Amino acid sequence: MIRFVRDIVRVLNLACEQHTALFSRELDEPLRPGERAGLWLHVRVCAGCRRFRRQMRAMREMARSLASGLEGGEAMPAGVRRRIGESLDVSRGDGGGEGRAKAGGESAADL
Amino acid sequence: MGAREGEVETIERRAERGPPAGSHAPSKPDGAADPRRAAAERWLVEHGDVLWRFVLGRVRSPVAAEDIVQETLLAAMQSVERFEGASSERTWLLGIAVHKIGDYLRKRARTTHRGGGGRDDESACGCEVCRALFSGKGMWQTLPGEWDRAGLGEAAAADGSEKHERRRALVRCIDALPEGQRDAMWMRDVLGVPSEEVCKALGLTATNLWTRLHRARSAVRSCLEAKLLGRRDDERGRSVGGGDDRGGAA
Repeated sequence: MIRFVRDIVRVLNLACEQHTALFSRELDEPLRPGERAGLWLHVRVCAGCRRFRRQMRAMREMARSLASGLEGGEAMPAGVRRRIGESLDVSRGDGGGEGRAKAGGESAADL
Repeated sequence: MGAREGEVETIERRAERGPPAGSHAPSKPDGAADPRRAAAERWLVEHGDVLWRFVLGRVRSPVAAEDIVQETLLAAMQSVERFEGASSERTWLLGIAVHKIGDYLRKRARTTHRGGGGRDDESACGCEVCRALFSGKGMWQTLPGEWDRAGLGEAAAADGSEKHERRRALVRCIDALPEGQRDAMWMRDVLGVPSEEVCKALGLTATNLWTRLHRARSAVRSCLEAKLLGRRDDERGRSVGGGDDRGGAA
């Protein structure tokens, strides 16, 4: 309880610039209950922080949608896939001559 | 990575030349070679398309993308024992690709602006803009822009082309960050790699990571605002001349 109150007081005494660091941190790990309560009280009265926090969250959502956007779309060209597959043979450490020579006969049309 | 002097190599020439030299070809890991290779082949089948789209979307050169995907798989083969399974296999591979893309972008920047150093990146990340938001006492000096009023706050509400435009702007803003911030943000915010893994991959403490991410996010926020809100204000000014006031501040 003491920690809870101490966290609230500490957060309420922070400047807005430091609050923005907490808005970022809460995207990575749960804040302590007192810190959350302090932020909650602060954003009630501070339009700048309220806006900043909302934007951090919107941005995170947008960023995550970049990853989900990878699910559909252009597939890896067959020629590229084959060459990469062959290069995994090369990587076994035999000097790579054979694998590269094989792939060297690749047609550009496969791309 | 293969030759990429000004990206003169075309995909056709690549096909004639064959795959890029295995620059990071691991030494033969005796008996462990086959399971690793089998795993790499499986990754290529299961995650090859996603890796390809991810890398190509960032480097915009099929030749470079091929090199990077190849290097990613080779690096993953070498470090497969270190994969602890806290994130999905795909996320782990994408995390490796983030590093490889970073190497590529750094090399490309070096060849494009010879002797330019890193200062360009610093100023492009918007740090100056971020600093201008606060007074010396850390209080708001300039309030953040009204994303909601411009429809930027509602990610789901955007239509196809708008969404695409926002995503492109976001990618550009993240890529303009200094290297360390860029990698952290790609791994944590885009790919959703758990913080502990990002710390391990980038050799950071948790506190360092938060600081880095906070700087990165603040810079990207300002950059996005400048790119999207600024442009929208221009358009509004040109067409209607104000008007759409929905009132809600934050």
